[in-house]
Amino acid sequence: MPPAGKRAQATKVESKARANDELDDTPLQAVVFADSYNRRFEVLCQDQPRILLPLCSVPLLTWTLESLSLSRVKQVFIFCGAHADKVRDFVESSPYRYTMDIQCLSSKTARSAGDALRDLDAMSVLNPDFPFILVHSPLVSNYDLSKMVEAHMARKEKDKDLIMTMGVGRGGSCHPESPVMVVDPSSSRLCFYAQNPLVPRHSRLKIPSSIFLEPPPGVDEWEVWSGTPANSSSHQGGYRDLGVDICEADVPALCTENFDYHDLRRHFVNGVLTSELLGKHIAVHLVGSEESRGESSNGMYIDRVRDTRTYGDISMDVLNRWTFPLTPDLMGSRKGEYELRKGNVYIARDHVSLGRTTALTGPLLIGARSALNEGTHIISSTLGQDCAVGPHTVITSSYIFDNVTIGDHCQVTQCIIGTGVKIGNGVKLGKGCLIGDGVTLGHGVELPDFMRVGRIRHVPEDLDSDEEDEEDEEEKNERLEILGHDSVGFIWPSEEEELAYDSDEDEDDLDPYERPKNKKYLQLGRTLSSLSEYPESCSTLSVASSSTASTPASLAASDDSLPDMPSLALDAVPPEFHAEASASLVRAYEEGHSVPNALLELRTLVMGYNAGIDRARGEVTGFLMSKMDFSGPAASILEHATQTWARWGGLAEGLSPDLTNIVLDVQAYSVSHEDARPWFGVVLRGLYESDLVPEEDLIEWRSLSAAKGEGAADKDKALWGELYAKGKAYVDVLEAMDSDSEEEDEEEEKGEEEEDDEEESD
Amino acid sequence: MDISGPSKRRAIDTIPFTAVVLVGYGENLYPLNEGPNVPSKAMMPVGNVPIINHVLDWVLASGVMDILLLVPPKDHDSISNHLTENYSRSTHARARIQLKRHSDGEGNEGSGTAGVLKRFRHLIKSDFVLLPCDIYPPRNLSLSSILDRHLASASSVLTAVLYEPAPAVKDSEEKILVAMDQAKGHLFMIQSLEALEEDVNLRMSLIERPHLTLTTRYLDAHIYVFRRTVLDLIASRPPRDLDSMREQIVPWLLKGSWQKGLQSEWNNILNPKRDLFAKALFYASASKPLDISLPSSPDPDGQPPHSTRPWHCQTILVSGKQGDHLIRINSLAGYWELNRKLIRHLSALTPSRTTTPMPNAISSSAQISPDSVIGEGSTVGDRASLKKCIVGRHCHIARGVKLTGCVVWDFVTIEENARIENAILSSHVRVGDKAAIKDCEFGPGFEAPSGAILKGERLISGQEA
Repeated sequence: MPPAGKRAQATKVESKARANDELDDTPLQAVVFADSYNRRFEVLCQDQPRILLPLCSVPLLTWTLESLSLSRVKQVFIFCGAHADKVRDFVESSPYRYTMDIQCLSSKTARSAGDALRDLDAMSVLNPDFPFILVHSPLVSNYDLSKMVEAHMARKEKDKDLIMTMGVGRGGSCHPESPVMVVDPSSSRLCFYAQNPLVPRHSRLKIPSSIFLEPPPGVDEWEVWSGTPANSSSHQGGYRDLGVDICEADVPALCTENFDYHDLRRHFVNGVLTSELLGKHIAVHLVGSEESRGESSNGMYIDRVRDTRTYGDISMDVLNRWTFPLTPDLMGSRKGEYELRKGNVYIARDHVSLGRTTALTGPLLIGARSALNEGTHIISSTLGQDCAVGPHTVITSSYIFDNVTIGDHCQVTQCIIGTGVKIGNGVKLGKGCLIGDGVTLGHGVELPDFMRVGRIRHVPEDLDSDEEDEEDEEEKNERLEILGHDSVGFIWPSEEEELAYDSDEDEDDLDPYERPKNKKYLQLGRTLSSLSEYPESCSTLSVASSSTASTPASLAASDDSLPDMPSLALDAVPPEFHAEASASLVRAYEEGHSVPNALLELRTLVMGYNAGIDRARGEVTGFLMSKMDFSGPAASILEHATQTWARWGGLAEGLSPDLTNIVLDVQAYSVSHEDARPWFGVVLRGLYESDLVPEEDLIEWRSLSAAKGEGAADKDKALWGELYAKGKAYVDVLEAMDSDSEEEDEEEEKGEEEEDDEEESD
Repeated sequence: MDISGPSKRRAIDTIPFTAVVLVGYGENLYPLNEGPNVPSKAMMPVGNVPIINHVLDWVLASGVMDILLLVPPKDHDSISNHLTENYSRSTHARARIQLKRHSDGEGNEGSGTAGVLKRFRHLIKSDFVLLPCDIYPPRNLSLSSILDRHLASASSVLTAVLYEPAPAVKDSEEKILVAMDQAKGHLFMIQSLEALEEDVNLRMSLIERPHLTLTTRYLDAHIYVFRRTVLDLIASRPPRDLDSMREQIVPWLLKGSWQKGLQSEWNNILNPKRDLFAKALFYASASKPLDISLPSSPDPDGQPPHSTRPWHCQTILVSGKQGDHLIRINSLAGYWELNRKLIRHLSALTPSRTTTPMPNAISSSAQISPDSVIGEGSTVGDRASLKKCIVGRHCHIARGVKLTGCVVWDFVTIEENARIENAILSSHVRVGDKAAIKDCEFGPGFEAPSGAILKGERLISGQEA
C-alpha cells in the first residue's frame, strides 16, 4: 500500500482526536469478533476466516478497521477463533497497525460470543474504567462510533447502573433477524428485547405487563421499535440491531458470572433486562439521533455483514456510494486504484480488459487484471482481481472473489463464488448458489437454486469422529449426477436441511434466528418481499411455491422491481415433485399405509424438492378428491366423502396448519373437475362430519376473499363464485344450527379469523 | 353561568353533527349518590351550575345544534324540567335538544350504551359525537376543533379524545395502555391496565407498525366522534355485543383499523359504496391520506389493490398545559379537582363575576373571601367566615360558622359556630352547632348532630355520625 495516503489519514484521525479531549485522555478500545459463531458463510470459509472475505475486493476486516479508525479507536482486540494465524498475518501486513494498536487474541475453545467475552475477561486486557466498543460482525460504516460512546457516557452519568448501549440503526430492508425492542424514549433505556424471526412468523408478541404497571418514576411512554416489515410502506423503514455495543467492563464480568450466557442478545440482554437481581440497565442508541446537536458528521451509514443476504445488500450500498467516503475509488490505501465511470461502474485501472461488446450495467466493480470477453454481460456484480469471464456469459447480482475463471455462455445469478474457482462453459448456476474456494465446475453443469458446493465435504457440527465420514455411494452418485465427472467439489446439504435432523429435541434451545426455516431467508437471493402475503407461505413457513392448482392466491406475482428481489415465480417446483408425490399417494392408498407414515413420506418429498407444504396439500386433496365417487346419489356420495376424509384426511391436516386451506384446495379441485362440481357442498359436509375441518374453519373459509374466487383466473372466476355459493349455503346452515354455542366466544373467534385474513392480505 | 368565559362563535354557525350525551348513573360518586332526592349525575352542581349546562354550552358553542340526551329513566323528569327552564326555544332558538330515556322503546337490544344507541339510531342522521355528561373541558379545547380533526381525515371512522389527567385525579380513574402512532395521531388500541395479565399480548401486525408508541400517560375522555355508518355496524351486531360502547364497540373499531381481516369485513358497512365518479376523484386526488400502504399485490389477477387503508381511527391528545386539565367528575376525586380548579379561577376573577346575593341576606360582619361564591337566596349569619367555598342556593349559614374549602350544594343548613374544612355537603345536609368537620363528604340529607367531630368520613343520610 502507498504509505503516504495512510499517513494522511492518520493525521486526519489525530486532528479529530484533538478536537475531542474527553476521548483523548483514555484510548478508546474496541473488541472485534472475527468469528461469527454460526455457519452462515462456512462454505466460503474453508481457507480463511469470515472476516477476511472480500467485500468489493476489500477484506471485511479492512472495512471494520477503517470504520473503527474513523471512530477514533486507538486499541483493537481482534478475537479470533478459527484461522487465527491468517488474521494475525493480515494484521501484520496491514497499514492499520501503524495507526492503531491491534492485538489478535485467539481462543480455540470459545464456541459463542459469551465464551469469547469470558475469555476476554480472564485476559484482563480491557480498561475497567472506560467503556469499549464491541463489534459482533464485520462492520461497513462511515459513522463515527465515538459519538455513541459519548452518548453512552452521558447516559451513564445519569444512570449509574447502565452497563451497555446497543447501537440501533434506522431503515434498511426487511431482514429475518430483526428484533422487537420496547424503549423508553426519555432515557433511551431498553425495557424489552425479543428476537423476532421472520419465519415462523409469530402472530403475537408477549410483553411483560410489569413494564407498564411498575414503570420507573416519570416514565409513561414507550416506543416499540421493530424491523422493517416484509412489505413495508414506510419510507423510513424499521429499526435494526447493529451488533455494535458500547460496553462497560461489567459486561464481560457478568458473562463470567453467568456461564450460561452464550448469545449476547438472547441470553445476555434478556438476562439483564429480566433480572431485577442484577439491577443493571441497557440503553439503546439510535444512530443519527445525536445530529440535533448540530455537529457535523461523517455519515450515518452503518451495517454489518451477518449473512450472505446482508453481504449482497452491503456490497450494493458500497457501490452506490452510501458509505462515502469509504468507496472503492476513494478508500484510503487504495485511492486511485479504481476508475469510477458513470452509473457507479468501478473498473480497476490496472490492465482490465473489456471486450468490444462487453455490456456493463452498474453498479458494479471489476478488479485488477480481470478480463471480460465479447458479449459478456455483467449486471450489479463485483468481480475480484485476475478473473476471466468467457464470451456471452451473463453475471447478475453476483459476488465473485479473486482468480475466478468462468467459461463462455454461463449464467450466474445471485451467487457468491470463492477464490480460485474454475467454471466451465455453459454452466448455469441457480440463484443463491455459494461456491467455495478452489472448486471446479465442469462444462455444462447446472446447479439448482441455493446449492452450496465446497472443495471439501461438509462436516456436520456434531459429528463424532468415529462415525463414518466417508462419502457413501448414494452421495457420490448424487454428486456425479449434478456436478458431472469433470468437477472438483462436494455438494453441501442445503442450509435448511443442515439442522433439520436434530432440531426437534432442542427446538427451544436453538436460536430462533438459526432455525433452518428462518436461516433460509438469510441467504442471498431469497425473496422476502412477498413472504407474508399468503396465508400458506406465512403459516407453513415455506417459500410460496404452491402451484397454480392449489390456491388462486399463489398466482400472485411480486411487483417488486428491485433487481435482487426477483419474483417468486422463479421458485417454481420441479415437475418431478408432482410425479413423486402422486406415486407416493397411490402407494399409500392402495397398500393402506397408516396416515403418519404416509405423511412422513410426503414431508420428506416436500423437503427434497423444496416444494412447500401447500403444494403437497394440494396434491393430497386433489388425490383424495379424485378417489371419490361422484356418480351415486347424494347420500352415498356424502358417506363416501366422509369415509375418505376420515381415513385419509389426516394427510391433508398434517400438511396444513390452517384447515381452511384444505377447503380452498377442495374448491380449487372442484373448479377444475366438472364431475365434482355439483357435490362441493356435500364434500364440505363430509369434511365437517369426518371431524377434519371444524365449524369455525368453515366459517372462516366463508369469509375468505380467495374462496369467493378473488384472484382466480378470469375464466374460472364464475366457477369459484358458483362453488362458493354452494359451500356458503352449507356453512350458513351449519352456523345457524348451533349458533348458540358459537355465539359465546365470537369475539375470540373473530380474533382468529382475522388473524389469518390478516396474514393473507397483509 | 359559564365560568370559562364565552367561546368564540364559529363563522359557520352550524355543522352537520349530532351530539349524543349519555347521562350515566354516577356509580362512583358515593356518598353523593345515596340518600333522598339524589340529583341526577347530570345535575350535579359545578360552580352552582349543573354540569350538564357546561356540556351543553360546550356543544352548542361548537355549532352543533342537534343534541340527543339519553338519560336514566329516573332522571328523565328532573332533566326535562331543567331543560325547559334553561334551554327553551326562547333562549336557544336554534338548538334542537331531544331527551330520551335509556329504556324508551326497549327491545331486545339490551340496555348497554351501544344497545341504547342502536335503538335511537333513527334519531341520528349524521356523523355524531358521543360524550358523557360529566366532562369539564379545558378552555383551550373546543369541540369544534375535535370535530374538525375528524372531518379533516376522510377515512377516519372514530376520533377519540385522550387526555392527560390532573395529578390528583390520576389514581382514581381507570388507567389505560394506549397504542398509537403519535406522528399521525392514529389510535390502535386502548387497553385497561387493570385487565392486564402477566403479559401484554400484542399482535405482530400491530408491533410492526412504524412509529408505534405505547403510553400510559393518557386517560380516555370518553368523547368519541363516530362516522354515521358505525351505527349501521352496531345495528348489525347481536345484542350481546352491545353492552358498552367503550368496552366493546370502540375497542373493536380500534382493532379493525389495523387488522386486515376485520378491516375488510367491516369495510362494506363502514364505507358503503360510493358512486364511481366520487371514487375516481378519490383515486385521482393527489392528496391521499398519509397512511398509504403500498399495493402489495394482495390478490393476483384483477382487483385493483387498495392503495389506502379504507378506514382508521385517530385520536386527539389533550395535554394539561398550565394546569388546565380536562376533568371528568365521575369520581369524588374528579369532583374535588374540578371544584378546586373553579375556586382557583374564582380567585383570579373579579368579585363581580360571583352571583350577587340579596344584600340583606348576608350579614355585614361576615367575612367572605373573593374566591368564594354564594348562590342566590342563601343567608350568612354574623361573623361567619367563608374561604375558598362554593355555596349553593337557599343555604342557611348561621353566625360564627367557619367554612374553608367547602363545596356546599343547595338547601344546606349549617348551624352556629360549626367549623367545616374541605368538605362536600350535598343538598339538604344539616350540620349541627359547634360541629367540627374536616375532610368529609356527606350524601344528600345527611344530618350531623350538634358538636359532632368528624374527620375523613363519607356519610349518607340515615347513618349515624
